[in-house]
Amino acid sequence: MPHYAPSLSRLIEELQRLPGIGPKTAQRLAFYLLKVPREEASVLAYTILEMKDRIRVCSICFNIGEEDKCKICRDGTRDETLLCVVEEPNDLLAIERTREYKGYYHVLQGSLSPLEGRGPEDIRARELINRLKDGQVREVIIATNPNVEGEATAFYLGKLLKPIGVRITRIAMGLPMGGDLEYADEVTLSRALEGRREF
Amino acid sequence: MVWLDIGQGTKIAMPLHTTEAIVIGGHDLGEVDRIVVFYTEKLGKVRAVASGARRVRSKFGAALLLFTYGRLVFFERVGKGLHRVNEFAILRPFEKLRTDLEVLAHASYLVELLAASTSDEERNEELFHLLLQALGLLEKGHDSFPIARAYEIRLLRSIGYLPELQSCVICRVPLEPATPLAFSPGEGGLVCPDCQSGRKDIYLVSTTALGFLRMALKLSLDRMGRINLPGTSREELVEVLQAYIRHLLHRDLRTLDFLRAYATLWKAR
Repeated sequence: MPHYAPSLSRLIEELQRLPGIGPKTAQRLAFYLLKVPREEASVLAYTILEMKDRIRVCSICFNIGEEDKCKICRDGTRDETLLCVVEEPNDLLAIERTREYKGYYHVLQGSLSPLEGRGPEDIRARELINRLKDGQVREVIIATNPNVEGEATAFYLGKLLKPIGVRITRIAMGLPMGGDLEYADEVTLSRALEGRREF
Repeated sequence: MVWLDIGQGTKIAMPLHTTEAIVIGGHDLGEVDRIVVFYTEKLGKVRAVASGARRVRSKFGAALLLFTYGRLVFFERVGKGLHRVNEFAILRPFEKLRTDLEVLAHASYLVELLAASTSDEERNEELFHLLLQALGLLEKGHDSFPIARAYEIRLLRSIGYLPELQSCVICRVPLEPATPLAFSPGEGGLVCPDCQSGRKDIYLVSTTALGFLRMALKLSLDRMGRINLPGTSREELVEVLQAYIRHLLHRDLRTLDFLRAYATLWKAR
């Protein structure tokens, strides 16, 4: 970037590191920030640093929060017999949006992927077993993604948790609401048939 | 390339390709898209963007999951490297490969090796059919060990890196089966007893292991899958082939790390 002032060039380079931001978008954002008042730019910079300083991982479920225990783990009104296992904090938020689930969570902070070389040591599986030792949890709901990595993780956890004797369930898979049956592929449709229930 | 007739005998080239393909990898792009790596019958390894593939109501559904064999229609973006997936109709989902972690890891090894040892858009029908057959056998529940080793040696032959298995790779003396043999990854083949002295990069190879490698080049993958090898020969074959592949690729494959970590953890329990 020979035509830019060095500080602007550095900002463009830094913005390009963000996911989904290419050179053009980085350039547009940098020029936008150049035009905003200094205070506005300071607020953005301060907010990023504040978030980095304050956010921590919950010592129980590995969700993110600002305290040692996250808001959900501190909530004593939830059903302690249910534990929903998700890959990332974003997945937890997606389930919370349903307002259907009232139990607690366990965030694995990743998934198994042979092709990416991510093995069992790279997820919070050992911590999950430790959480089940006191016998309070009656059902573990595995809500990993319906892709190869999520399925591999679910099978691994299933095998790992079976000897503990807790009920293990997997979230249902199949047709999305509002979709058309005729356009569903055979894998999705067969999963929907497998997971059918009494009407 | 598809030719579109625009009348009066004039045809224009449409960069639209249709070919059978197997999904061998991919990664997320932006918020909802995915870059999918296919191994195609007509064009070898192809990378293409599947727009909206991660949306719950994506038109691709489960079609772009790893190992899926299907009919791919894609628009070629000349000179850009990344093409655009238009359609991928499932011919065989290979779903059972994804429902057992160990089988998944072995099948992942096959596709990772293929992806790592081939360049983009170099046609090789033999490799396409080799992978298709190997995945089919793994799905049927055949022992993954002889299939993976036979797959490795046939893949190496197909890409032009077949190690020397008949005579000494250094002095060219034909080797008798009874001779104590060794394999040198750096030299690319078997080394006779005279040439072995002083060499550090050699692995001993038994007659059984060598016989397996020679047979794997002649017999079908299906027949190789039924061969029951003793434990020591298995260890030798893994050592030799993986040392040679590491030498060629200059790195270890990630799936091997996964298989090692998985085996260690499971044994420890």
